[in-house]
Amino acid sequence: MKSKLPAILVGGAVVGVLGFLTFGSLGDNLVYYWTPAKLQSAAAKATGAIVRLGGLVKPGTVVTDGTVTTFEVTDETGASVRVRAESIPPAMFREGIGVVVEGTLGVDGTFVSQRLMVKHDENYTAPAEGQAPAGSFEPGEE
Amino acid sequence: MRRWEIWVGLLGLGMLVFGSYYGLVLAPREQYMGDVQRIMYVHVPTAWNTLLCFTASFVGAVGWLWTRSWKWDHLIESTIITGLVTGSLLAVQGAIWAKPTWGVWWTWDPRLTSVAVMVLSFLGILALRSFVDDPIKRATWSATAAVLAWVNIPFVYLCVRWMASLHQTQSTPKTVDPAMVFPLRVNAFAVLFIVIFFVATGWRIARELRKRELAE
Amino acid sequence: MSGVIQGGWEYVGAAYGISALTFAMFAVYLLVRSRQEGVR
Repeated sequence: MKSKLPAILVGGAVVGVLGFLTFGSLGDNLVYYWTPAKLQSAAAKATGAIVRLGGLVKPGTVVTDGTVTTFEVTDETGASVRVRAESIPPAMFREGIGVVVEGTLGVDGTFVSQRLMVKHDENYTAPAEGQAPAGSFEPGEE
Repeated sequence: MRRWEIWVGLLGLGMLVFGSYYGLVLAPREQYMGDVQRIMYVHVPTAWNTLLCFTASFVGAVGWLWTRSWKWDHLIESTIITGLVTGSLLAVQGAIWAKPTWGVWWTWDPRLTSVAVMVLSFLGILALRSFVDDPIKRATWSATAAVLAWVNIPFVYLCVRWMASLHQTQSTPKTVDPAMVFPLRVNAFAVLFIVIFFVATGWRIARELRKRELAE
Repeated sequence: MSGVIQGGWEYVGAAYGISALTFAMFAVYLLVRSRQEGVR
């Protein structure tokens, strides 16, 4: 009969990790990110805790100063939160794009983040001009 | 017809070479993601076929619980092993695509979390199978567990529409440039055929193992 | 801040390479295993 120890170890690890995922990281944090409106209405809960804020980069608010980027994240309600991102933004970062920032809401209402993530939507479009080798296609919806 | 799946696999291989060549060379680069978007032509087919593969495990599980016919247990075994291979590959491809685009290798958003739960739960079922000696108990327990684990699959697919996530929602042919849709479709069927080859070959191995086990 | 990814072929190569390697290794494993087990 073959040894069952590896199987029991794998089984135990799987149960442990599944439990952690279900009750740990998901349990106390059921939403992946808060919108600016939600964050502001629950500011007391968000201040000092590590949370994620998601929304669109408000055009005209991006200021880069060395490795620090400040900008406003906005949502469809018009609410916006000032963000101070202390990491180098991914290449796709631009005005108007969706972002998710991980960090804490300071007492002054500025969200300080060490982790800035760029969200890509479901649209895949060829560039309007330039090196598009595939011949005839229509630009997708944007 | 013996070993028909080898021909299906070779067809899949040929299509994968063609579809990937089209995706890497002929398809246009994406407006913002540039050339990195070309990862889509392997990542999305891997995703679809992983969900399909674990859905076949569910079918096998229901089949076994209903009919107690061994062919369904062979299907559970071979689809779980294949799904774990493609599912793990899926997570690695996703991480490689996420780093240059999102800026991180991994984040606990609903899609990535539910995929992790999916892979780990089916890995758990495979572990369960290996420490149950009685073949009938093994089949019944793993079928029951596979039905439970499958419940997560619709969530994996739909969570990006239901909940706030970093992962984008499903594209449709309307949101993807037609020159990108074509290689995606070719590779989707290519990976499907390759997965059929994997599952059929694994099914034959499982049948051989059970035959010997039950003869003891 | 152009908002466009320049290059990045190393990521594309890694994703396709690891996919090809995974499929190839799993295919070889299955074929060798079915031979060992005497599958016809």
